[in-house]
Amino acid sequence: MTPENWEKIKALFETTLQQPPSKRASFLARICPESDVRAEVEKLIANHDEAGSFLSDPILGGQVPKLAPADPAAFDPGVLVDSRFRIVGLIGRGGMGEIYEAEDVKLRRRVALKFLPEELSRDPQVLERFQREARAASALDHPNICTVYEVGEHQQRPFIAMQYLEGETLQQQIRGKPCKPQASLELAIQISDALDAAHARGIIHRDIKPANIFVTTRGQAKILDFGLAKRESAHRRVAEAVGAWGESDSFMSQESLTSPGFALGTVAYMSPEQVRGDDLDGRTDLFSFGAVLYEMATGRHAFSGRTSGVIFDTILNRQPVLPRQLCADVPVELEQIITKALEKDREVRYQHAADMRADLKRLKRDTESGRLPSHQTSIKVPATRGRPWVWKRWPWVLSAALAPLIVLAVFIFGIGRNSEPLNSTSKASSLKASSPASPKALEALLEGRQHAAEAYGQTIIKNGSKKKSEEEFSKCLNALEKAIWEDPDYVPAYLELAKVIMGTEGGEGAQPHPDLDDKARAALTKALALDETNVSTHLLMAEYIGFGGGWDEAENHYKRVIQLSPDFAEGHEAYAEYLDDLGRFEQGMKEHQKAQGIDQDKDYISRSPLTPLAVRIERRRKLMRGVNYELEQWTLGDMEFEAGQYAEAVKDWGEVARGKGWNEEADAWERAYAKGGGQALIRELVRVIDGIAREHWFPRDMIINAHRYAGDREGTLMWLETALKENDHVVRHVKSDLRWDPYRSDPRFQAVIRDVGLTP
Amino acid sequence: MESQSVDVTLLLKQVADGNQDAAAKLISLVYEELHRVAEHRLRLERPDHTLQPTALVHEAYLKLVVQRDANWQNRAHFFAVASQLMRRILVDYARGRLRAKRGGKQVKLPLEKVFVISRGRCDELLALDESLEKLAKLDARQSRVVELRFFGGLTVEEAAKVLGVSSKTVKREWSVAKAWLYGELKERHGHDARKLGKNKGAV
Repeated sequence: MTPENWEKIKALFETTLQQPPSKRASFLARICPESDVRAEVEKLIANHDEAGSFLSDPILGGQVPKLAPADPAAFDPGVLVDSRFRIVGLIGRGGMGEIYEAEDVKLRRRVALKFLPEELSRDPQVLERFQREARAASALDHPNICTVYEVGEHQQRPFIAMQYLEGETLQQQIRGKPCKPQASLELAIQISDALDAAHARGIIHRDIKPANIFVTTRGQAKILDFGLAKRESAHRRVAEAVGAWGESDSFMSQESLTSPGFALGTVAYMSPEQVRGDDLDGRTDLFSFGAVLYEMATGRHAFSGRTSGVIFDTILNRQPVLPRQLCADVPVELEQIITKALEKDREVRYQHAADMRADLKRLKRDTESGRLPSHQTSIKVPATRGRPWVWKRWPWVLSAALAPLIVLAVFIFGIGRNSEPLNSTSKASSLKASSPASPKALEALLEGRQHAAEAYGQTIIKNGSKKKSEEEFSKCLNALEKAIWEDPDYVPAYLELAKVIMGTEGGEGAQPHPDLDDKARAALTKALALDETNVSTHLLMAEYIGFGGGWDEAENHYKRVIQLSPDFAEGHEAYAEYLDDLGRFEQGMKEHQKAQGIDQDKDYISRSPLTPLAVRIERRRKLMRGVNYELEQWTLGDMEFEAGQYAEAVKDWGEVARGKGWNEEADAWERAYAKGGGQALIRELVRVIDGIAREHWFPRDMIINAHRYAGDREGTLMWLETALKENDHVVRHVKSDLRWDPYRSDPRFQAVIRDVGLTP
Repeated sequence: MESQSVDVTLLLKQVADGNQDAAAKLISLVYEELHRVAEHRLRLERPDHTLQPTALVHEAYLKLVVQRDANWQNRAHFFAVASQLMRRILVDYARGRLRAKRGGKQVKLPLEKVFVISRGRCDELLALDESLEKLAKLDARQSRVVELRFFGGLTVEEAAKVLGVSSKTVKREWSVAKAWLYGELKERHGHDARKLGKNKGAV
């Protein structure tokens, strides 16, 4: 065969293939008289038909480019960092290292872990400074500063554990367009307040820029990376700009060489004194903040240029175009604030963040009161306090400054029940089953999680679209089924499928789908067949079976969990709750105690019905100290109310509500309590909750508690029956929850107990 | 790692310019990375398990070459080289492994610690490689299409971009090339060629 012949053969092959199979032979005979060529074409067509899936999957099984952010993590999910943080997944990476989502297993909250790049960790001086500064930053407790919880080291790599938030960076928000003026002003006031607080403690940020300012989904500004900016970076960046490449063996320089965008993004917000390499004080942050404000107001960089050198020249020597020339909407007062912040001589710039804050606040007040004739008053402030009565169990998640983020909104509802023993699992179970054979399977699994999060996460609840939520749920199912199709031996995909159906994952409002029960059972059965040593599978299976009334069978799975992983506190705790649910309180207590013995930092004992209310309250308060879990605090309020500690209850409920911007409701509760005591308080609470529940999903146990405390028997039973229909976990505890005692003789209540598969 | 990644970028460019030394260096870098990945995995997981080769190669590959190249100006160019590279790594491995199995000179197999490719699969891989060589003489572009799609994992659209042709052309070439390769493998090597490239990868 010659290449010339080949061209002919190819063409004939293609045209013939377009014919229906039965007509191909005659067609070919008609158009191709040369028998040797025809034979080749016929052979090719026969082979084409026979080849089937030959070569249909790439050797590496996936489209490499798309998987880049998810795959090359230095730490795999399940890895326990510093015996405290369990890696959930990689959420971003950049020049400053990698960021992971993790669970703080001691304090049971979600955190973001940021690891320094390896290069930097090898330099003891850098390391020492990094840790010192991070510690200083961790002392900053301000609502508009992303909290640093802890500094640690794992496998010689230092890391910072910080607050996990959700939203986007100001950089992502601006994207070349001016921000809405009112919202900008609000954010600017928050940022100036944060800077004021930090400066007061002698901490300078040094790297204020849009990428370092996070805006949460509630519209709250959070400054990231406080105290983390490298002191010497300014000099180095300057060195780059003036062409002093002698230093090019350094990491920063190399990075700038290969990706100029990185360096430009960093230098555009530097103050003149930073460019010159002078000593810095808080005023450098005010200049950088001025540059950020400029960008918020106009959508354009205050200082820009093709190279760092040009940018430095503009920072040192040129005035930026006045904001109002770019954007007529900008109030003249804001322009004045920006100009004053961008003064090159720091002696004539704003001297304190507090001064800047005062000017911003005045501007906001005047705009709002209409004293300033301005079109922006007509622009609505984005609803930071609509009706998003959404719950966060773990402080919400931020995936910090690093660019492409995959925020997997994986929520855990119900204490202990669903915490995954990731570490124990990976130790005990086979790698074969827990890592995908095809990257496509992993990709599909991640996609499924994302859809689940969108179906039940914050965003949807906020928009309140049930239809959208259903759409997302079905997309989630599709994606998970695809993952299974890609790799039929991939246990995590089966577990994920079971979880979304059972409503133990997918978002704050995750609800079970009893109609898909068969699917969940099939998935769990298959997962168990693939890997009998997976602790998560057994836990889910136990819960699944328990719901179906198969309490006895469920026990075997709990026992197996403990056998596989005797040091896994949550395993004992899950078993304990099971025993409690059956009314075997004494046995349950033993397991609660075992769990408690393994992990002192959580409160397992209180979950036993045998623990007196007063002890429970005390332990819960201790647990709550210094942390902020909305659900935990709300439940504490419940307990306090039950114990007749109404003042404490109204305070705890109120704090949770205010945290969500629900000031009026919190006020109303306080007024009701002041006027009519506990009874008036609980009536008001029920009124508010019922109002919310009409439009939004609201945790069933909380609705039931409120109605029960209010003595509303009808409402309580109605909600209990609703929860039963929904497979909500609250119904599992009808026996162990002693607050049901007054209902035990009620036939409706007894029907529920029997439906759950228990004996009244 | 960061400095290494700069090297990789540079090496990739050199490979694209036809520098064979650079290709060899690049491959040894990938091997090293594979080791690192494998050892890391072995530390973390139960040691008595066979590691998933596809996942490992994939991981090493990504770590080395994709890590910070998100804004790599010429992605097409990059993947063109990367798919060539993957082909060479896997074929070299298969060759070395078969040599060792057949009692030839004991070669040190850098990948041996990392994963096990069955002998049958090695055979198939080598057969495919040989047939691809032959196809390249007949139709260079078709051979490239197969390399990009099968070894590089590129989609039709991505391959079209790399080759600077339309998606339609890639689809056509792919369809003919598959049929031809299938016939070739069946004839010359007597395999059930259909196994190759079925779900779970060829290795």
